[in-house]
Order: sequence, then structure tokens, then C-alpha cells
Amino acid sequence: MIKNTYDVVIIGGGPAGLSAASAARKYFKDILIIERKEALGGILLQCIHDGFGLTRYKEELTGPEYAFKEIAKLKEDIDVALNANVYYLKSLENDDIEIKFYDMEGVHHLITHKLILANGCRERSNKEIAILGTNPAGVYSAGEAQYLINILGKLPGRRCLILGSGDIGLIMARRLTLEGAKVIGVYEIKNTPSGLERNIVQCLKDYDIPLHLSMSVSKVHGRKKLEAVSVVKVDENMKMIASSEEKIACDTLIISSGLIPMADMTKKLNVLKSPLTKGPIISQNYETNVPNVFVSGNALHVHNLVDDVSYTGERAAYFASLNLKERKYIDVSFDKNITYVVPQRIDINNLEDKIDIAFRVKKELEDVTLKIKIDDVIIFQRKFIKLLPPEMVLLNVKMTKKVFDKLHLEVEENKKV
Amino acid sequence: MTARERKVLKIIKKHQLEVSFHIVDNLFLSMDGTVDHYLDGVKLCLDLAKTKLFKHVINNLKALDVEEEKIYKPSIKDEKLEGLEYDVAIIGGGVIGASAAMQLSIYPLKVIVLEKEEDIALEASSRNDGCIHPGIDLKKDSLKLYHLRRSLKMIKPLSEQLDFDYAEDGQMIVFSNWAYAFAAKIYLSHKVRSNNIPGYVFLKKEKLWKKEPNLDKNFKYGFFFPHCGAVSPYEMSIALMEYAHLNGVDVSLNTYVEGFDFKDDEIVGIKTNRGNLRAKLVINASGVFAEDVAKLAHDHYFSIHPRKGTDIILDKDSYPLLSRSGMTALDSLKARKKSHSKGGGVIPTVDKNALIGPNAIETPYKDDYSVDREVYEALFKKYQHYMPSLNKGMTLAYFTGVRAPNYEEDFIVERGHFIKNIIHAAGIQSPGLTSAPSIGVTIKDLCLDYFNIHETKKDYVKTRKRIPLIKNLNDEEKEKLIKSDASYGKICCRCEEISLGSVKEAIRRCFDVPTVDAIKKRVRVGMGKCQGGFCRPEVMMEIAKSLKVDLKDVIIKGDKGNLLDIGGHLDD
Amino acid sequence: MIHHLTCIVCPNGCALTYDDKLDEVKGNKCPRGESFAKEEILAPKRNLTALVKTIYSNQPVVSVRLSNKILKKDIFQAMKIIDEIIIDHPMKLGDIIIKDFLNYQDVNLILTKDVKGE
Repeated sequence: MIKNTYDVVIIGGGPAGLSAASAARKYFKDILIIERKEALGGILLQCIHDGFGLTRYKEELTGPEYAFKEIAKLKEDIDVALNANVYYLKSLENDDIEIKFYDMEGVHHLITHKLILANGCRERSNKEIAILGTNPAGVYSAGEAQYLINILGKLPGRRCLILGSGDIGLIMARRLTLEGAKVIGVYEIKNTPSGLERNIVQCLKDYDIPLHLSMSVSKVHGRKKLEAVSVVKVDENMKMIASSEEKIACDTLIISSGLIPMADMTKKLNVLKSPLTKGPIISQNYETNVPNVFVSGNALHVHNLVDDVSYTGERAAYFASLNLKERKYIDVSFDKNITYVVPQRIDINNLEDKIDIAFRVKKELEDVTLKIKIDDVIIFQRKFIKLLPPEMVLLNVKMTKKVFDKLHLEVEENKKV
Repeated sequence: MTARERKVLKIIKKHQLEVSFHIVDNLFLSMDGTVDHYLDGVKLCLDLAKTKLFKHVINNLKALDVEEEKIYKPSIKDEKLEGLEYDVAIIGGGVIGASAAMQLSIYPLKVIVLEKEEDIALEASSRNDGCIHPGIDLKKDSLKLYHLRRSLKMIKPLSEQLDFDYAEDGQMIVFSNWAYAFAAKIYLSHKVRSNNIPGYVFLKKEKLWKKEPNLDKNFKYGFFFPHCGAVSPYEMSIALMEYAHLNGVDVSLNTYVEGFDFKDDEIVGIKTNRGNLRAKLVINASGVFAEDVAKLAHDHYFSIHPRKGTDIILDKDSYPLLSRSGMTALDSLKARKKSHSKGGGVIPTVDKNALIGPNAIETPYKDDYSVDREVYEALFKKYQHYMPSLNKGMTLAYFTGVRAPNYEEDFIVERGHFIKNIIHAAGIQSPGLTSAPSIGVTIKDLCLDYFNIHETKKDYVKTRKRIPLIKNLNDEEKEKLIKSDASYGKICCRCEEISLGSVKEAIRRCFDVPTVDAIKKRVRVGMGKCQGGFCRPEVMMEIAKSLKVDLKDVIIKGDKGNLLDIGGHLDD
Repeated sequence: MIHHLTCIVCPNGCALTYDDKLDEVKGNKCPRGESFAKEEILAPKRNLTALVKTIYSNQPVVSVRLSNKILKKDIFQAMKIIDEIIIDHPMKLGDIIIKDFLNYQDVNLILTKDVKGE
């Protein structure tokens, strides 16, 4: 039975939502998880490969195993709505949140004091990256191909080409090969791979699958079904070099070109969005500009490790439990080596001793130091042998000063001795 | 040599081409011989058509730079239609075929629609910007203007009767330069009078910018035509065809017309990949293939010269950032007068997306639906010029359609010339979608005349209802719908908020084997941000369930399944 | 001569170097890197996760893993065996489908999800 009021409602039953819910049990009585699909676990259920849980559980788990560990932590006192779609969210005058959703039983209407968004991310579509030519069947996103194979047990085709060297693309190259498809190659528009080196080794090199850097798909061919793909080299500005175009016969094109935080829930609440992460702007308390609305996991920004996603869920639940005073924000600034920093701003009226800071760098950097300054004084620094754009860094930083006007991140090359 | 022939020779000479010609039945000019470049032949035929010395110019020129085109044909071969007898067979399930079927369906006639693709409205009738045009750019005595004027009166009641969306947002033409705007004012006032169409509202500066807040402020003058707007071209086509189907019209998909059987100067049979059927009257509504069908029917007296156009659909977030009405910006009047198509614009769609396009490129290839990179880039560049907030990041989808003009650039809606029992609806290009309802009426009148029928059937269905979408309902209606069928409460496409119940209903409403794309066209599953990444497998499963087939046999597009079993083939 | 290798033990993916004699592995942040390098050079081993079919239409396949690494060269042979399996009764995550897989003493094929049945 769905109650009329909750202490906290969590939208999304994937890793972020699950950890938020189990953590929330420490602080709240009435907790509800609203999940769109028929089961909890989220995308983990289709990630049958291993490599999950190394930091959180100190063992190497597959996606489903990780999900079941998280689900097992939920107790019966947590309400779960499955097959449920939230269609209305409104921040009320007293800062409670009004929620309407429907499931297969009907429409549900409730009020919650705190809301945690944990509704994950989506894949960039082939249209967003302008895959031109015809529009035949046989072009899939990596996640969709993963669902077809790992959940439905069906192979999208026999001769596959993969565009994008993100981890999902690499992992799919291996899955496809093991399930009987020929992976002709992985094509990456950038001059460096987007996925982890470890996956390049065990997903591509192990199976002699070539990785073509600085190349992209210029055109797809085929009226109803994919018949061929034209690939092309790109120059340093990622402009296609037409003379290098080459047509490759294949029946499947898999696009793995990045993930974008889902905006369907934040949009309903008019949450401010960051153009850099495409996710919401938050404070160090994981709170959006809408009071009592918190965000965690990939709905916030895209993480590399599910362990980190689970961590943000727990943190969001913790901050949701606090009675925050009137918010006062200062913006976080950063230097040109950094792509983005989350949180985007600090709520200095509600500052704890330690805050989480996540960032990504723009290009590959070697032997550098990250410095965090408040009011031009360094409060934290850490050396990195190597920083790569695909690898997000998540830090827990001690705040030595509670009142300040400026928080700044910079990544500097270490002086050679 | 007649004066007419001398004129033709003079024009050929002007084009510096070595080609011959002959005149057919004293009415039609057939151009014969060989040209190096396809486009040279098209330009010549267009010039010849402009002389109006002949009813139609037929382009029989062989162009050396044209490669043989592989036209898509369904692979199915069976006897489904063998020996069946119909009063009327409509070839082509586009908006024209659907409109004719809808009109005919209430009369005591046995009607079938033959469509070569796996769904109706898959070619120009879905690859279309959906504009309902004001009719300002049409020639006074054209058939285009006749049908457009009649359709403009029909479209709103039709949208209510058949329950499809018509967004009467109007259309705007804007100018940056006062001199051009002034000239346009004289020209447009004249056209409104001579074409006998509803007038415009002239908007200057602040008034214009208030109506179109995102317009580049260099554009200061606007002409607003309120009596037009946009429909979803495939939604309208599907609504028309569903209505026809409710009233007993058969729809045979994946059905390709290979030829006809004749008796004297009449068609008696139609040969298809699904068997040979008999029809008393044939309607040629085959769009860009209208000339091919006319040839097969021994009634070849006009030519189609395909013209490719690309549109880009932008995501819903961009809707408030772009134009409120269908909008075209012109820096000069010439550009507009030169082209036969409207010239494109920034157009709000009925689904609250925005659309930019289309362009127009002559092509010899009828079946080429590819989107070219140059065109994609050029469209953004063109429209950024007056909608500065437009950017490529807003791209949701894009598509190319092929228009089907003849050289006279006017519709042909008439009984055949050599063959008695064929009706051609050919050369239907912009404003073809707007004119479709009226063209359907004319086709119906020609049919009734042929069969000498005056009365409708006694009983027929009066209206058609759209598939319920949970997102369009209020809370009580949502509750009621879910209580009536729980699957309406289970979301399938999260981007467009389409629930499984709507998908199931769409599957039921497909005229033949449901495909993933057919479901997408009916209820917009997979038309949002993720373009089907999340929901396509769910739609495939639902189709498999309803047809009781393996997932391998579920069709996304075309007539063959897409998936394979995992495992095996490890040795390859 | 110095050789290069990427450690695949964890997502850190340390860039390892070693000499011909294998007595000095460098670049590893943890001891697992060194043992990985030695194994990788002599007899590379890999984890394997895969799918097996079930008779249930609501769950046509279920995910499985090997409980320990096997030799890289045995992967495709392992897949052939896994492809043949069909599960016809409800089972639990962690249940063993094949014990001593491919005659490896310490390797079992185990379920990583429940098979719920119809």
C-alpha cells in the first residue's frame, strides 16, 4: 500500500537509489522507492560482466551480483513501487514535494518531505552525434545491444562495427565476439580511447579486435536493413577527411558515444542544469536549487564506477536527513585543465566538516598536482602520476575553514627537478 | 515544321543539347535521345514545359551520368491476393491513396489499397514537414491552388472527425530589408486577392518580435498568415486510412505492382508479388513512382523528376527557443519565386518539437532517402541566420523525402489518356499534403462517375478515434484508463511517456504485420531523446507476444526479422 | 629489454614494465600487479562471464560466471560448453551449474542471477 506522506521518496531503483534507500533507513521512517521497470537493480542487471564492487565490497562482482547485494540490504519497512512512472512533481510552499505517479494499479498521489532523484542516465543517440546516410534497422546503442543479448538472449547481427571506445562499447565488443558475432573494429573519433585501458586489453586485444583511433562513421547504407557503413579518418580538429572514406560491409552498427544524465524528473521541478555535466547543479550537500530535492548517481553526472554511484546515494540520503538552514551559495571555480567539477557550488550556511568533490580533466595529464583553494589558500592537494579524461576523480575533502568567498580547483604540472 | 516544333528546336538549341523529340497525340511532347548529364535533361524539360505548348512534357532522355537504381521491393512472394476481385484498386498508400480510400469507403464499392512498403505513408507522406500552407505562392489557374483552397476548408473538420492533431499556428514570412518587405507587401496583397485566399497580418518590429521572440532582430517585418499551420503527415495519413479500413477498405502491405493485364484499352488485372487480382478501376497514387505505374499501365503521358528534401527535427527543449509559427525568412523575393517548393523554414510541429527544412535538390534517384552531411550542415547554417538560438545540439532526428513533381509543376488528377479505367493522381508535391483531402474528393467523384453511383452505403462508421495516450489525460482519466487495462499504467517509452497499453493498441491497429517502426509512427515510442534505445526491445517483445512468434521474427523495418540467437558460429 | 603490460586486475589499469628475466615488475600500485604480470607472461588467465539459456519465456537467458580464472586459450572451448546448457528448473544466484568446469579443480560455473521460473 502506498502511503499519503513519506519522509523521503527515492526515484529510481538502480544502484544510486538502492544505496540511498538502505542508508535512509538510518535517518527516516517512511521511505518509498519508485522504480519504472518491473524489478529493482537498474542497468546493473544487464551488465553481466565482472569488475563491480572492488572498493565497496572488496571483491570482483558481476552487475547482477552487485545489484542483489544492494537489494538484500533493503528491509521490508521500505515501500517499493514497481512499474511506476512519476508524471508530476511540485515543490510546495513549505518545501515539501508533491508527487503523482501511476503504476499498473492506478494513479498515486503523495507528499514527501525529502526527494532523492536517482533516475540514472541515458545514452547519446545516433542522431545526436549525426550518424547520417540512410536510417536502416541494425543501428543500436551499446546499452540496447547489451539488453538484447544479456536479457533477451538475442544477437543483433553477425558482422558488427562499434563506434566509440567507451567502456560499454568495449565490453559489448567482447560479449558480441563470445556470442558468435564478428566485431570488425572499434572506431573512436578522438585520438585516445574513451574507456579504461584494462578493458582495451581484456575486451579488444584478447580477441584481436582492432581499435581505430581518430576515425568515425561518416555514413550508413541500406534502405531497410544496414548493409554497410562508411568510415573516415578525422583530423586534429575532428573534421572528417573525405578522401579517406572507406565502405565496410556489416549488418550491425553499435553506438557507444557517451551517457547523459536523465533530465525528465529535474525538468518537472525546474531544477537548474549544468551545461557541462548536462545534469543538475548541486551544492556539496547533493541538493539542487529546489529545496529538499537531492540528486545522486548518474542522474547527477556520469560516474565510472558503480561503487562511486552507490556512495553518492548514501551521501544524498545523509544530507537529506539534515535540517538545512537557509541556503547561501558561492560558486566553485576551476582552471582550464578541468572539464567540470561537482558540486558546482557550496552552500556555506550548511557546510559539514568534509565535502565530496568530483572532477574530470580535459586532456591526458602526467605528473600533476590537484590543488583545492579557499580564498586563495590551499586546503587540499594531491599528486597524480596520470589523469585521463575518461576517469572521474572523487575526493572527500576536509574543510579547514567554514567561512569563505571562493573555492577554486586547479591542476598544475609538477616542476621537473 | 510547325511553329510549335520550331519553338522546341530553338529551346533545345539554347540548351546546347543534341536530342530529338516527337509529339504524341498532338498533346504531349516526348524528349528522346541521350544527354551527358541528368540535370541538363531536367532543365531542358522544365523550360519546355514553361512554354505551355503541350499538356505534358515526357522525359524519355537517357542520362549517361545516372547509375541504375536498385528500388526496394518486398521479398515476400505469396498468393494472398490471387483471384480477388475489387471495384477499385488504389496503388499507393500515401496520404493521397489514404485520402481517396477514406472518401470512397462510404460508398458501395469494394476497395483495396496496394502499398509496396511494410506500412502506409512511409515515403513522401512521412518524410514531410507537415505544413498546411497558406497558398500564397501558387499560380492563379493551377490545380494546386484549386485543391489547396478546397482543402483549407476541409482540414479542420476532418481533424475533428478523424481525431488527428492540427496545430493552426499560422505561417510567417519575415524580411530584414524594408525595400523587400515593401515589395513583398504589394506582391502578397496582389496574390491574396488573385488567389482568393485568406489574408495576412503585417507585423513590424516590436509586434513581430513579441509574436516571434527568438527571431534575429535584423528581421523587422513579418507577414503572418493565420489560416494555416501544421499536421503530422503520417498521423493524418494513418487516420485517413484507419477510417477507410473501419469502413471496409482492404489494405495490402508489402504489395508491389509488377504489371497489368489488359483487354483492349482497359486494365482487367493487376499483377503483384502477392498474386494477381482483378480491379474494375485503378487509381495511380504512387507518388514518385507515378510515372512508372503509368508506363506499366500503358498510359505514359507525363514525367516525374524526383526532388530530394531533408528536414531536421529538434528536441522538445528547443521548442520554446524557436518560432511560434511556421516561419520563413527571406532576404530577397527572388529566391522564393525561383523555387517551386515553399523554400522551407522553422516550423513548430504538432508534437511540440520544432523542425527546420526542407531544402530541394533534383535527383534521378527515386528511392534515395539518405541524409547528406553537406545538407545537414547547410540547413543549420541557413536557419541560424534568423534563429540565433538554433544549434546542432538540439538535433533529435532527421530524414529525407523525395518529392514527385512533373515538369509542369502542377497536380494531375484525372482519368487516363490512353487507358479508360485508370485515374492518375500524379505530380503531387508541395502543397500536396495540404491538398490531399480535396484531391481525395476529386478522385472519389471520378470513381462515382465511372461507376455511376450516387448514394453512400446505408451504414458506415462516421468517426475514427486516436489511440489513447496516458500523458494526454488528467488524473481521473488516467485512473480510469488504467483500471480498464492495467497495461496503460506500465511505461514503455520514458522519453515520450508512452505506456504499454498504447503500444498494444497500436499493434492491433496495424493493417498487416506490425513492425517496430509502424508502432513508432502510431504512438511515438522511440521518438524522444534516446531514439528507442530504452524502449525498442520492449516494443519488439510486445510484438512477439501478440503475434506469438520468436523475437527473431519481429521486424523493425522492411519485411524480415532483425535478431539472431546468441551462441554458435564461434569458428568464423 | 624492457616490456610493457597493462594490469587488468582492477580498474586502475596500472602500466607495468618488466625485464626479460621477470625478476623486476614495475609500475604496479599493489602487489596483485606483480603476480598478474608473471601469470600474464607465462600462462595468461581470464575470468569469464556468459549466459545460459532457460526454458522460461520470461527469462530466456540467465547470467553465469566462472568462479575462478581459466586459461585464456580455453575461453572459446568454455563458451561451447556453456552454449549447450539449458536450465529447466528454478535456481538461485550462486548455485553451481557445473562443478570442476573443464576439469579445472577450483573452477565452477555458477549463476549470477536467480532463475525464477514461470
